[in-house]
Amino acid sequence: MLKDLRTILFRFIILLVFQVVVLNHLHIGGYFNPYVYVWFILFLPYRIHPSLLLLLSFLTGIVVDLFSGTLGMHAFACVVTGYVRYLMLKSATATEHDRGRFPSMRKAGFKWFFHYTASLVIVHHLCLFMAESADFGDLPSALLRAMCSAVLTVAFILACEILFSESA
Amino acid sequence: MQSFFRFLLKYQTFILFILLIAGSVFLIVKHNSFQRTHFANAFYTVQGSVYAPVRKTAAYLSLNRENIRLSEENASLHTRLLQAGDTFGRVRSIYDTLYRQQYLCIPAQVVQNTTSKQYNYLTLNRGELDGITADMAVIGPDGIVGIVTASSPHFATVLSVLNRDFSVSAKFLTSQFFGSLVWDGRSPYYATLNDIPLHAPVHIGDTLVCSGFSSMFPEGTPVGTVEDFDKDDGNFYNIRVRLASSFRQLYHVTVIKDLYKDEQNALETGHNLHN
Repeated sequence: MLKDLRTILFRFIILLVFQVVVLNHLHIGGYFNPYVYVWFILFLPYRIHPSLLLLLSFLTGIVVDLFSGTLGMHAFACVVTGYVRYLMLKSATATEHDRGRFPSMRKAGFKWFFHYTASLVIVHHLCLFMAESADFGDLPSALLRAMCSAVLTVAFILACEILFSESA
Repeated sequence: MQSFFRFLLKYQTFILFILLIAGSVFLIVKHNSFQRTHFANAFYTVQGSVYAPVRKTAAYLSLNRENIRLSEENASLHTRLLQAGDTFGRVRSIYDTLYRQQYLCIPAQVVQNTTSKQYNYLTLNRGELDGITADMAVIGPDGIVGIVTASSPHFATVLSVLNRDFSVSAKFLTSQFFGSLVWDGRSPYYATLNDIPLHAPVHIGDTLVCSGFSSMFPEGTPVGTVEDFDKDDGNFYNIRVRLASSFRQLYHVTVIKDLYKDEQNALETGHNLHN
């Protein structure tokens, strides 16, 4: 239990520092702004209490907001992502038990993990970029930027998962 | 009452979800309407002090390029100084009774900068203690950068040209036709110039400078060049402008204080009142 807590805290700090110091300053062609920190929400244990999941999602979003100068937008996207994750896993875990404590590609298989990651990342990015464009005046551009960035974020998470499971 | 608590317990996740969503939407709306000024002192001091060391370290990596740009700027200023001396037979004295100094320049460095959002802001490492207050103009080595929105004792936030709330009055260097320059939120390299009538002569590559009408940027500060243009439905051109400043590489900037601004504003508002 203590080990889990340490792993979660470690990931929280690493992902947020990486997001705030490196990725927030990375701009590829104006359309790709990966938000890899959302991996933290995907990675939380299966059996986490739903309320705790939502509160942690909100906290993650607020911290990123504080360092991006966009108070509320990341928090909004993260809470929606957290809730969708809760709905997804609520219907799934009843039949599939032995995937380990944390969602990972090694335990759950590529196909399941890819679907899980891609759908949640897309939800997160759509919410974020639509909250950012706010007036809905430039919706097609916001959707395009969300999808381009989501592709990059998913690719990054999958690449890291593959590297991690090789070494484990 | 008991059934009410059972209801709360049963739907606690959904209720918490709704509460958190409401909280974040509240933050978004409140943050936008307050225009960041109410948060400036506490929030941006924290943000600035975290980003300052990161940016300071990163600055070493581009030191060479920055030096070249600064020496180029230095050379062009020297050239202008020599020309001025030529015209008047001597270098203009700033404290002359005929030529009073209108603008005061305060050097600053960028500690935080975004270009990929719809509403981009910069943070500078100079603030009230250096005389920076809201509504001052910020220019870079190549052209306009933005307008100061708020300042704390050691930091200032700047509304970037790359912000959909930004607009500035710009004119053609040669023909004096002027229009308003706004950013469409797409590329950090281009902006749009509106309100230029169809009878104005427009060519690709024409230079645009500040008109001085917005009384923040000094007249003649470079804005950009005409990249492309077409006619929209009405009587105006739709002009795509390549911005002079490269916002992704911004580090050394200058904050400009207009010493006559209060006088001009007082006169103009007084004039409007009498109309």
